[in-house]
Amino acid sequence: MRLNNKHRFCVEIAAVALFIAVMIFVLELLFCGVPTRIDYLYAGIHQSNDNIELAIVGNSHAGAIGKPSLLGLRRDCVENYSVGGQDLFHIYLVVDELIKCKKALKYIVLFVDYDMLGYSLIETNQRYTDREYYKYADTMQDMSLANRLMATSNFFRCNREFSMLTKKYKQVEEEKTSKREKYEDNYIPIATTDDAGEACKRRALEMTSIKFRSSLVEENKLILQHIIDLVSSSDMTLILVVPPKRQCFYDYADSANSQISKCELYKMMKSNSNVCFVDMYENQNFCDDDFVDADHPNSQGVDKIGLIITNEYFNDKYKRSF
Amino acid sequence: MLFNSIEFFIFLPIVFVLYWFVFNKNVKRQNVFILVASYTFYGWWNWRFLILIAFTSFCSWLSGFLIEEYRGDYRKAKCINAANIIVNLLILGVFKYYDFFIQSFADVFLGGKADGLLLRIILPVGISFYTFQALSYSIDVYRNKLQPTKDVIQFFAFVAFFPQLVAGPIERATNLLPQFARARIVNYEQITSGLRQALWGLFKKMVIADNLAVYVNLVFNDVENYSGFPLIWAAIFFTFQIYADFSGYSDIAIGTARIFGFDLMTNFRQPYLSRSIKEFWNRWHISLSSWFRDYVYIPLGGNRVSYVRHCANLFITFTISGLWHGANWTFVIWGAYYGVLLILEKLFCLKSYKIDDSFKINHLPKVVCTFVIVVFGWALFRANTLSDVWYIYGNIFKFNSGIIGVPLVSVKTFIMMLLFIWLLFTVDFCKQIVLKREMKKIWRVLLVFLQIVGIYTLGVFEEQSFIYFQF
Repeated sequence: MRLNNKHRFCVEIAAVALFIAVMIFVLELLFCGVPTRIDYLYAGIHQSNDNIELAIVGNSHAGAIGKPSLLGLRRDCVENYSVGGQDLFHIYLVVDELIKCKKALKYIVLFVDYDMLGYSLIETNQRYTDREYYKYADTMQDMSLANRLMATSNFFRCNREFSMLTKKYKQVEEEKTSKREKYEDNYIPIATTDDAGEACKRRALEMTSIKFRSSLVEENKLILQHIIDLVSSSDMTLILVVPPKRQCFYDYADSANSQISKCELYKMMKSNSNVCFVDMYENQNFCDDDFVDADHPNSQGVDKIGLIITNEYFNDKYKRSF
Repeated sequence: MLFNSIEFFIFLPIVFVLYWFVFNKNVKRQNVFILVASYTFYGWWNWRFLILIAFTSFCSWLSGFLIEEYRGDYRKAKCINAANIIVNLLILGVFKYYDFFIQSFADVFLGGKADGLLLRIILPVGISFYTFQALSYSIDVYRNKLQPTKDVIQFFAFVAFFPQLVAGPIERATNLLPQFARARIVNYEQITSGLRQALWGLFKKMVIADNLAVYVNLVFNDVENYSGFPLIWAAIFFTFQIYADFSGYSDIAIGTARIFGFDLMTNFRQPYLSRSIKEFWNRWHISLSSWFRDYVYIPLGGNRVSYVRHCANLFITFTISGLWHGANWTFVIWGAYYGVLLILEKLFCLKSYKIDDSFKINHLPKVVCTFVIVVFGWALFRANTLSDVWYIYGNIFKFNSGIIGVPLVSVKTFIMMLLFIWLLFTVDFCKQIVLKREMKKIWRVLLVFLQIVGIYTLGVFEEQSFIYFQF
């Protein structure tokens, strides 16, 4: 019942502990100050440009819109705060921050695909993105001790991605930001090769089936209701947009899942008459030439979307005035 | 509490220090402390189920005691042993299998409507493991292979010993219980080798198994969206995921037990280098297969019966072993699949191989054939439902998607997964043929540091349960 060689054992344990501490310290130092996509997003929100009256939020479908002139507002009064792959919980965090920071904000245009009601970053193994928000929002979807510890680490916030330390990464991110700043028309016709069809099928299945969990619908509905309540309590107008898709997307999409979400979304809109709801899913005004791929509009598509949102908003406002 | 959780990383050093520096005056104190630590470890998940484990322990301890009391009266001893087996299996049956059998019955006779009849109880973690461990004690006492212990604490600590409580190795009382009775002396070499084994187990779980799980879960949870390559890759990846996951758990268990001065049995011996199915089962989950051999197969008559009866014994043993794994028909069929394969091996009089044979290049064709059969078996094991099984086998060779074929997995991630498999294979291969001699210290130290760096940079830190916890 004795432990022999205590001294030797303690020395070696201390050496291993020291190694771990040095390794963590070096990695933290290397990744200190390396900005992630969410850092860029929040930097944009915290910028002191108080002329922003309309904010676009959502995932990559909202991102593809860029900064168009909407509701008759000038482009410099519009800002896009979307992040690719974002779910409703994290959109809520962004909307909350926008309301706190942007004093001139009047409109929030929220892009919500049907499939977003069954989608969560955590369910699709993107917990690292969840951690990126913690620094700003002080909350995450997964608030376990391990996740909170990782969220405070620079290394884990960067998803342990060593490529983020390279100059190339910084260049690419800066290019993306500047492209968003100076949004220019770049009409790209849709590819019509077989590969494009296959890609379209994969995308449709990915969005409406692989990433979709019907068990998440109730939870996401609650989050969406929180967003609606938050915006209306701040005397702002929420415009909820369901973006259009290319025909092949509809062909391969899991129609059962889309239908579940559609029903739920329409039920919600019925009880939230203060929200301007613009549903462009299966809108006949769009054709294949309006998209760069299965579900992201090109500049021609963006113009159409902008026009529809503006018309629907004024039409809705007109109806509500009676 | 999971081995790969922050809580365990705090729990283990505290228990270690208290065990060796505070409660080290005598064995009884250490046993009491082990029992408290083990119940804390288990109760962390759900303290209510501690009642169950305590009850199971008490029944087996009492039956061992009574069997010894009535040693001269064969019928009474037999009745006590049978009663203990029935009580334990009844508990296991209610918690693990009741809903499954009722639902299956309802599917056949009531058109699937069983809502009012189902209990919907949460499955207590590790119930199959500790029930089997407790049962082995009373059966061994009944068979006169073991002297029963009068020390309740010692026995309770044996059943609940935290390193192997929830997923084995399923220890025999003949091996582990005497270790609770004698004084423990551990030296520096034992502790460092234990920690090294636990670290390698952690690496296998957090780096290899949990990364492979990403691809496996995407495909198996949504099989109907895939055909061809993704199904093949998912089956192969699961083959290595379950091995890394379960052998990783066993390594952590054995390593952790060693630092407390206990020796647990080996549970895996490079199973994917087997040259026959029989050899595979001598290398895979050894503690369970030997349990079934000793307490099911041999009592049924083993191989000392007629040819047909012997085949039936094999089939029954493996089908029950399939059911032990989980309350789902996929597990039952998986068990039966191996029963049939072993009968076929016997029919064709295939040679039995010793697992100590060193690997030679001419073994390769047999190793590959066995591996392919095992991969097909794992696809059956992992499938969520029987209809998924039929879909997988019907579409596994319909190649109409890309090589990777899963939208959420990048080429980089996929290559990394292949490298993990290569690493696992290489280590097993080295264990089998190269490293029969002791490794130089410098290499051992280097490997420890590499594993730490590997876990920190590539490991999955979100708490992922071990696959065998559900059994």
